[in-house]
Amino acid sequence: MAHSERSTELALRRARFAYERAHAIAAARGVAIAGGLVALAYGLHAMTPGIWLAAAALAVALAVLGWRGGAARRGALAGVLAGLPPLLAPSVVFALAHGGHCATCEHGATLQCLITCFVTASLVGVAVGYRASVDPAPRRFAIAAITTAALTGLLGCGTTGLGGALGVVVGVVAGGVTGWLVGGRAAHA
Amino acid sequence: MIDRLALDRWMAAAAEGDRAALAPLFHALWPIAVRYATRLVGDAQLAEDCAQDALVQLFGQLERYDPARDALTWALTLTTWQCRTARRRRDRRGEADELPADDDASHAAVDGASALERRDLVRAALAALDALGPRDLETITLAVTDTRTAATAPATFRKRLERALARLRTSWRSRHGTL
Repeated sequence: MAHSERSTELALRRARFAYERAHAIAAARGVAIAGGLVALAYGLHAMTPGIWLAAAALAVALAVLGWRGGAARRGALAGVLAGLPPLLAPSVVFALAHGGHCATCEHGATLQCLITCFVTASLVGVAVGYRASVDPAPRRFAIAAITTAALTGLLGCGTTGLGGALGVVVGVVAGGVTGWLVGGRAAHA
Repeated sequence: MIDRLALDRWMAAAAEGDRAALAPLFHALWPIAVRYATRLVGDAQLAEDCAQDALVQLFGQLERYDPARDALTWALTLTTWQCRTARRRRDRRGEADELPADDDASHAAVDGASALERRDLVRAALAALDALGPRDLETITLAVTDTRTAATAPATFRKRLERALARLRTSWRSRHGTL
């Protein structure tokens, strides 16, 4: 192999490595963010095995989407931000309604908790769907955002039982589709 | 002939996480970056190192690529910075004895005295360029390499170039006296 070919190959290898390293760092950042969210959820609610499963899935999703880069990474971050209200809202609502800590949600999920999960998830879903519709790669953005938003929300709403879990997932998906349609229609108008 | 649209497309795809765009992007940028670095630093080996460092830096920051901006300009700006850094390092080590040559033919054509003079001139010019900001440097790079994009209106570019050259003249005067 000629010298110039060797140096070109070496440069390409180094460039690829730099690219993959940046993506690996983004994946590690995703895991760290998931860790922070789990710590927050742990402080707010009682953790059930189902919630731990959601936490693990969130960590994997953020790592994979962060590593993938581009719209997947943008969507994952947007999804985490969108998932914060459903993560926090049940605790706030339960505390306001009962003057207690939502650690007891698991045993006595109230209707307010369930409604709060569904409503906040729907609202953030609309925002996510709308934002996805204006992204250069809307489909990938939407899939990543809805996945991480639902998993982040599950860390909070999952503690209220199956009703809360379904509420956040259905809310995020339904809201996301609505936001997408509204955003798409606005773009074509 | 540089296919700038293809370059922009590959860079946007790579920034979006498409690994298949990495090789074509690299192979399109590499010869341009090496040629450009050779013109800046003279030494072919050092130029390859600078081009390599620039592309490594670029590939490591691809996620920051803004599709509204020109891919080639970004690559050449990073190459310019790497060349400046390498030149400074070389000067510090006192290894700047090699001539900034384009090829063997030009080596043969110049005699020792004019080569020395040329080397000093290049050094002086690079020292004056050191004082400029990244935007000015980018504008002058685009003008020198004739790679201005259609994204910037000609009048705007002309104005920007005028301002960059004015600052370059000021930098030159402050270092080397009259122009």
